[in-house]
Amino acid sequence: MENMKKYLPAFKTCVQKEPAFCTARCPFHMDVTDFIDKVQTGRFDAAYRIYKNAAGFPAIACALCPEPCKDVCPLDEPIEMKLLEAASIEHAKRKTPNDYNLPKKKQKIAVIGAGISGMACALRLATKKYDVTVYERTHRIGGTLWESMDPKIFNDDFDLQFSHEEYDLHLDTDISSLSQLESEGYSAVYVATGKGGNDLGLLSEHLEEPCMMMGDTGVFAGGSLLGKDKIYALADGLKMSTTIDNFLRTGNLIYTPDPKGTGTVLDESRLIQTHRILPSADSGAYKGYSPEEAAEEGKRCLKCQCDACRLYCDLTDYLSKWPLRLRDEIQATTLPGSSEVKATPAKRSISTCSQCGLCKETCPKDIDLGGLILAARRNMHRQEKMPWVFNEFWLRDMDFANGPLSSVIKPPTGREKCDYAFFPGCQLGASDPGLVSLSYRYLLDVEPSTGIFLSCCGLPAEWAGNDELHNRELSRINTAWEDLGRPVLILACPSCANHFRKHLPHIETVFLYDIMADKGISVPKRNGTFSVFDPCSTRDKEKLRNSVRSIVSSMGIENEPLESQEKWAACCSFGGQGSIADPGFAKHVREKRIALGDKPYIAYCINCRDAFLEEGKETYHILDLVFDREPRAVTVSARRENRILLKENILKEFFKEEMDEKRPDYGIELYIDDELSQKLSREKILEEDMENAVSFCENTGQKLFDTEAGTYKGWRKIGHATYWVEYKPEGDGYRLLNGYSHRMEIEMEHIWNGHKTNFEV
Amino acid sequence: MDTKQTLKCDRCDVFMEPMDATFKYLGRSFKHKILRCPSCGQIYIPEDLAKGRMAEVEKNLEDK
Repeated sequence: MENMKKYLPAFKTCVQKEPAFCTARCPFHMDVTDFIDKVQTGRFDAAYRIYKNAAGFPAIACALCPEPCKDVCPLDEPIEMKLLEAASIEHAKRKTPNDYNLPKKKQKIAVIGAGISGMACALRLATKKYDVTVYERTHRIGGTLWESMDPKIFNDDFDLQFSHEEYDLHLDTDISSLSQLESEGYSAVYVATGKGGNDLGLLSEHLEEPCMMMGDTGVFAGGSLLGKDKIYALADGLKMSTTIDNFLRTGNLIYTPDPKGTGTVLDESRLIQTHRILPSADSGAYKGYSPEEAAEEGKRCLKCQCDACRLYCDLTDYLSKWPLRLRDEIQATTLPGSSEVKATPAKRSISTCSQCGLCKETCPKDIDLGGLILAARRNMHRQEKMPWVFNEFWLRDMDFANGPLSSVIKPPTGREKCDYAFFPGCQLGASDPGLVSLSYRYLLDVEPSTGIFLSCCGLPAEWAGNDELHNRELSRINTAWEDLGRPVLILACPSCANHFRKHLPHIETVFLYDIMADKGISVPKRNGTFSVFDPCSTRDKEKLRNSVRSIVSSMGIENEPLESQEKWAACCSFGGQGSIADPGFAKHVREKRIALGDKPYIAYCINCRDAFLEEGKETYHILDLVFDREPRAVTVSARRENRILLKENILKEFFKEEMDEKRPDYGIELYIDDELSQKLSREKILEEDMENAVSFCENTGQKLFDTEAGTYKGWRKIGHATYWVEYKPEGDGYRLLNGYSHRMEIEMEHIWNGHKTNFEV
Repeated sequence: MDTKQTLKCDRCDVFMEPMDATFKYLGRSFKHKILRCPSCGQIYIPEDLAKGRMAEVEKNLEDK
C-alpha cells in the first residue's frame, strides 16, 4: 500500500458533498437541489414535502422569507425560489401531514411564547409525541406574525401542520419566572418570548450557548428573543426542537451551531446564464407560476455542486461514481487477502482508467484519482491479483515492437554516434510504415546527424503496473540511447514525450512537428475545413499545439476548433490500455470525443487517429496530410506485418542493408479472407496465432473432423489464452474458416496439448 | 442433444460424446459437460459456448 498512501490525504479535502450555495445560505438549509429536482419534473407533492420538512410551516416561511439564497446564486438572474416554493404549495395535491402512530412520550415540555419560533418548536416536539404545553401572554397565537401577513396564512398553516398533533395551550398566561413552572414537572422549557420579551433570567447569565440546566430541567432560548428576524426565529424553533429532543433522549446539553457556509466550487463551464421565467398566473389569491412555468424556472437551476471530476473524467462519468467512492473501492480491492473473504469492487475500474490526468488538473483540490489508480495497478500486480488478460495483448505487442523483427536502433550511415535520433514510437509505424520512413527521410535532409530508434517507450509496462518489466524497459532504452551518443530524441508521439519526461528526464526530446513548423516542410495544398484534435498528452504542450496548427494552416486548411478539447484535451480511449478490461468504456469515450465536432479530425497521436477511424470517423494524422497518405484502419495482425515492413524498408533505404531476421514460420500456408481477418482483429486475435494453432493441429494430429462440413477444428494454448481454429485444406495450404479464443484453461489437457506434442494417447 | 453427432476425433476415429471436463481460470477450477473424445479425452468448445457462458464466467472471475 505504501505507494498508494501519498494520494489519500488529498481525498479528505474533497468538496463534492458540500451543499449548494443556496442551501448553505437558506435559513432552513433546505436541500434546494432536491427540491428543484422535483419541481423540474412537476412532482409538486414531493417538492412540497421537502419544503415542509425543512421549514415546518411552509406557507408562513414562504410569506416571510427574504430569499437570502438569491444573494449567493451564481446566476445573474437568480432562481426565483420564493415563487417556486409558492408553486409547490399551490400545486401540491397532498398537503396533510402524515399521521404517525407513535407511542406518547412521558416527558413534558413547556414552550413560552406562541410566536412563530415557539409554535415551530412545539410542532416538532408534538410530532415526536412529547407532552407539549404552550404558554402565551396574549389572547392569541401567532405573535408578531399578526403584523406582517394576512392572518389567514398563518392560522391555516398552524391548523394544517397541527392537524394530527396535540398540545396544551394556555392563553393570557404570563410566565414571568421559571419558578412558576416548577410544580408542573417539565423536563425542558423553550423560552421564545420574542423581541424584547422576558428572558426569564437566561440571557443575563451571559451564556455562550442559549441553553442551561436548572435543576433537572433543560432551559433553552431562541427566536426573536435572541434578536433574530422572523424567518430565522422560525428556523431557530425547529432547530431547538432537535436540541431539546437530543437532550431528553441522551441527557446531554449539546447545542449544535449552524453549519458555516459551503466549500463547494462550481465549474465555470456549468455557469450558463439564463433569463428568469415570469409568472403569468393571476387567479384569485395566487399570483405565481403555473406548473409548467415552475418546471421551466426550475430547469434554469445549475444545481451547484463540485462535480469537475464527473464533468471531465471519463471514468467517473462512465461508472457514475464519485472519486470518494472509487477511493473506498480501490482501498478495499487492494487490501491483501483472498477475494474469497473480501470484496474487490474496483478490480476492473482500476484497469480501465485512461491515465489522462484530467481528474487532477480539473479538481479544485488537486485530488489525483489517476495517480491512485496507477499505484493500485502496481499494488495489484505485486500481489499477483491482476487478471493477466487485461494487459497480455499489449505486453505482447510491446515485446514485438522491441523485438528483432521490428526494432532498429542505429546512428545514420557512416557515423558511430549521432546528435539526434528519430523515435517515432511503437504505433506510428504499425499503422503506416510509410509515415515513419517519409518522416525519417525529411529529418535526414534537415539534420544529417539523425539516427533511427524504432522501439516502444515502455509505457505499456507502466500501465500494466509491472514495475520490474517497466524498469527493465527504461534501462534498455537508456542504454541504447547512451550507445547512440546521447542524442536528442525526435518524437512523434506525445505520450512517449510524457513518459520520457516522467522516467528518463535527462533525455532531451523535441517533437517532429515542432521541427517541421520551425524548419519548414513543403506540404501539399488541401482545402477544406477540419478540426484539430489535441491528444490528451498535449495539454501542457502549447508550442506543439501551435506547431501543428501552423502546419495545418500552411496547407490551406481551415481549423474549426473543438473548444472543450482545446481547453481540456481528453483521451481518445487508447490511454491506459483499458479497452480489454472494459470495451464498453473505450466505446463510450470514443463516442464522446467524436461527438465534439462534425468536421474530419486531424490528430497528431496515431492512437487517436486509429481509435476514431475504427469508429468510422474521418480522421487524419497530421503526417497523413503532410505526406499525402490515405489513412486506413489496419488489423492487429497487419500492424505487426507493418512493423516488419518498416524495419525492412528502413534498413534498405537508409542503410543499404537486408534484414536478417525471418518472420516466424509455422511450415504451412494459411489463407484468411478479409471478413474473417476483420473479425479476428476486433477480437484482438493475431493471424500468426491462428497459423500456429493450425500448424500444431496438423503436426500432432490433435484435431476434430466434422463429418458433415468436411472441416477440421482444433486448438492450441499460446501464452495464457486458448485459440480455436476451424479450417480445411486448400491447394498447398489451408483455408481458415473461423477462429476464436477463450481465457479459461482446459485443465487436464495441457499434459498432452501444446506441451507434450509427441504424447501417444 | 438428440441431433446426430457429426464431430469425430480425427486421431481416434470415434465420435465425440458429452462428458465432464475441468476448466481453470485465475486460480479457480470447475467442471462442465462438453463434447469429448471418449477414447483420448480431446475436447471441443464451440464458439457460442466460448463467447457466451464461458465469457460470462471469465468476466465474473476477473471481477473477483
